[in-house]
Amino acid sequence: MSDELRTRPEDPRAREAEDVAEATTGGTVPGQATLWGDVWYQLRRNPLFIGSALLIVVFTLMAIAPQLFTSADPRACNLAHSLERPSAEHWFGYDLQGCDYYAKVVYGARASITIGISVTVVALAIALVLGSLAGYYGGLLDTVIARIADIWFAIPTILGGIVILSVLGSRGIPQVALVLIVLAWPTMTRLMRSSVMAAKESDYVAATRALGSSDFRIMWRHILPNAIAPVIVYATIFVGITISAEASLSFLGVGLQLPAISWGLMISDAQTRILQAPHLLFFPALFLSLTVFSFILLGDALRDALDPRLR
Amino acid sequence: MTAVAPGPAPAAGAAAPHLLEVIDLHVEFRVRHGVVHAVNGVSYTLDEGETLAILGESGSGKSVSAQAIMGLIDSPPGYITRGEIRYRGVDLLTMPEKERRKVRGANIAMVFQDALTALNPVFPVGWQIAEMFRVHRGASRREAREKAIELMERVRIPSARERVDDYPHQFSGGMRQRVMIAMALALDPDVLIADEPTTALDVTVQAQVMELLADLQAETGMGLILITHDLGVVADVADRIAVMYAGEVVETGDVVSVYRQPAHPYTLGLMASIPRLDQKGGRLEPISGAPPNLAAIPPGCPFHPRCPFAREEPCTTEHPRLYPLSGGRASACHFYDEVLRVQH
Amino acid sequence: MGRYVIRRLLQIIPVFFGATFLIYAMVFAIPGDPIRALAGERPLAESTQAELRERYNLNDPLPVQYGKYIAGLLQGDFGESFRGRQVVDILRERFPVTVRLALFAFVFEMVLGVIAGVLAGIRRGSFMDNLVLVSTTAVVSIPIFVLGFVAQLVIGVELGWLPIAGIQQGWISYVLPGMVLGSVSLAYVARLTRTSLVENLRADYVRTATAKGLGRGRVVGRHALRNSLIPVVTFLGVDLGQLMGGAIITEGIFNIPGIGGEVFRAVRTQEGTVVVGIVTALVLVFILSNLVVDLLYAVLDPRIRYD
Repeated sequence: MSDELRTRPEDPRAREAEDVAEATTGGTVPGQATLWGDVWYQLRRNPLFIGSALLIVVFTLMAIAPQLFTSADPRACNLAHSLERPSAEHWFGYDLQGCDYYAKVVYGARASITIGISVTVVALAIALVLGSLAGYYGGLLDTVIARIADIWFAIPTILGGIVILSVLGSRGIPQVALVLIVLAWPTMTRLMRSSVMAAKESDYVAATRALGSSDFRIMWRHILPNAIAPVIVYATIFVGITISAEASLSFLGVGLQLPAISWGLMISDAQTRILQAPHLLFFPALFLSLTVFSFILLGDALRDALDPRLR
Repeated sequence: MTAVAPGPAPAAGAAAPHLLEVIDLHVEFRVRHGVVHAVNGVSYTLDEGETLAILGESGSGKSVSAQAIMGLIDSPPGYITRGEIRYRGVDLLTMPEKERRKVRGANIAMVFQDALTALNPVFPVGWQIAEMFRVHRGASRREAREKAIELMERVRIPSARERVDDYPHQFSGGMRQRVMIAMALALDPDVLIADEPTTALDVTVQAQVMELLADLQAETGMGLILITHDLGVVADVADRIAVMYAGEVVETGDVVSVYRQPAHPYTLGLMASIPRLDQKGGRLEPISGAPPNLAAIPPGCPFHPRCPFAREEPCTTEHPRLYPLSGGRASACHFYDEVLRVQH
Repeated sequence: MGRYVIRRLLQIIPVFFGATFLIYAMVFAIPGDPIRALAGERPLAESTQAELRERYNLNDPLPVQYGKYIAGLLQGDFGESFRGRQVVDILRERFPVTVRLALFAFVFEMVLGVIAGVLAGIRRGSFMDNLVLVSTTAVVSIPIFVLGFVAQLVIGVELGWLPIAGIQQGWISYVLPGMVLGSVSLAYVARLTRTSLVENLRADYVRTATAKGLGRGRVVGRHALRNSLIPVVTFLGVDLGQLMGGAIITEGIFNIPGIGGEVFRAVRTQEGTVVVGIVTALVLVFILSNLVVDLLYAVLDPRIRYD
């Protein structure tokens, strides 16, 4: 019994028919008529965004070209320097093997950033495809994808990671990344799916459909740009979460193996000597926390900028 | 019944204070890209037993002025920069919040447009109605519940006793709106403000709800402010009308006269734009142009960019005041006599 | 409501089979010798290996293996350690400790988290709000093992306020590890409460409640909060999974003889069969707890009961 009629909100711009179906915001603000334009405007003004973006650039640079930050070789170890404290020439001191700790910490960025970003990008790609299909077409396809995702959800990340990784003989960056991708895709897919389902119900999609657009066009041009916002926010934060997860797994002993350089491994090694040599714990922990922190802050800033209601 | 002591006794010979009087109200919103002047010098009055319709498009400031009466404007970003709102002679704006809260709901009540979002989805409707009694009157849970059932019956919700524990989403749109009306009427307020109460409803249901409001008003003698953009609803129900545009009242008067012979170009344009059953074929006549950006209202008369009667002087330079006309009418147009003459 | 419950119960079944199959396949169906893989670099006598292969039905075809495995699970057989100790016995012995720890963490995170979230949400943009936002972000960023070490060092060793290892000192031993365990979840609860509250405070029904002449306390505390807590409750379900992972690390660092500590130890000593057995049990618990949360959600939000 539908006795509810909604009056249409007022006057869409009388442009070409297709544009009528697009969602625009901020009509009264001169010059900022598109969603992403407005987002960038807001972001530029947010000090947290600028700060976290800068940090991320620094760490990414560290990952790609560690030589820019240190001339020392993290593997050139000399037992004579074992466990030396930080000093003016060697900022972070030395570890148990006598390796330059500053160099090790810098080189450690590579593992974390690589894993963090690659896992997120691949999981995002999977989520985009599966989530859009499931959300848009619904029906059997949706049920199947949703059930499979449910099954994965039943296995918490760390637990699943422990189980799978403990049976793998060699665990380098690709293996660890693959395992994390396998454990990560359901969350993002589900997020994408609900986002697409919400966008699908909106009036502007109905309008586009009425104009005869193909499914692909509707998904690509209309639903995706709007549905992707929460997923992007989550993905940014997810990079941080993944980096943290890899560190936890390495700490437990099922992540990266020696001779890989990982912050998690370094912290794990530092356990037994916390009292004598706290610098072994402090520096990788600091870098790890800062990296995760900056990604999460970035995600927060993005979310604030993308949420029309928060303005 | 009234929680507010009436104002100072009027001087001998002067009229008794109006039930509700809005005097030169100014409300602005300070947002990131400027200041939005939502209400610019609005004045209107309401007496007992009277139905005042406030008519205007979205953005005309009609809802904001009502929210100012109720004290619902969030500060920041909204600020009441000038004016008075007198309830039985007492200015609500200078009242301490604790006092004002007693007036709210008990003496002046409001009904909103979309009952689905305006009602709390996780509490049963009976509970929400009964809350009025529990909070304002200290009634016990059982008493309050009985009263809630009574009210639901009064607003003609069938099987009220069985449905008192149902949730808002279990009702149809029209029934939900009645629940809101029941909630608003719980404590027998003197003033009921209905903000677009039927906009979200089907035409037939609209008629039922409006009839209910009219009957209730006749029963209780309360004053009703009806905020709407629907000319048809106004014609049916209102005694007097205030037409708003760009945050100002541009015309007031009794409904019959204003409808028959508008005294402001905007009102005239509105009347002319309604499609009519006896007008077969031909074109619709909208008002050209678009409403102004409330952050940048043009000088002079705010309607002049769209007005067929506008002249360079004084329309673009001098802001018109509400010129009084005969029969209790008023119009904020420099050339109101021309507007009147143009018709018949 | 009944239909909703039945539907949820039915949905559990494929998840149960799917998840257990997933774990089983990932461990026992990989190419190579699963027993060898589970043992890692541990030397195992040939006879032990043969015994274990028999025990885990690895000489049977895969579907039969899995069938026997599930049958075993339903009877409480979660495998055994390389020395023949039954995993289910380990679980029985250790779970009270972990439950106590988890409960402490849970109460800690819920109470403090909701309070912090409300204080931040009612005054958006205020000092309190920013304080909560920044501190929760910081807590989430710092890996739980770092938090654990720092807590041990600062509060346990330097300040000497709380015990940092074992459970000999009674319930107070659970305080520091419980706080560390609950810290990340606390951050999430606080942020979720805040976001949810901010959103609900903007809702139409809050405006109606104010228009009814209700005091701010009642509008926020009764009307808005009730709606705001719904997503927090759903978060609890996911949170348990996080707590499980965190418990492994926390119990390891603080030397707490619970289930997590056992996993911690078993991973280090490469006792793969124990790891798999315990994780399977934990996953089953997780599935059940999610069911409970789903039902709880229906109690809280009347709108979905009639789906």
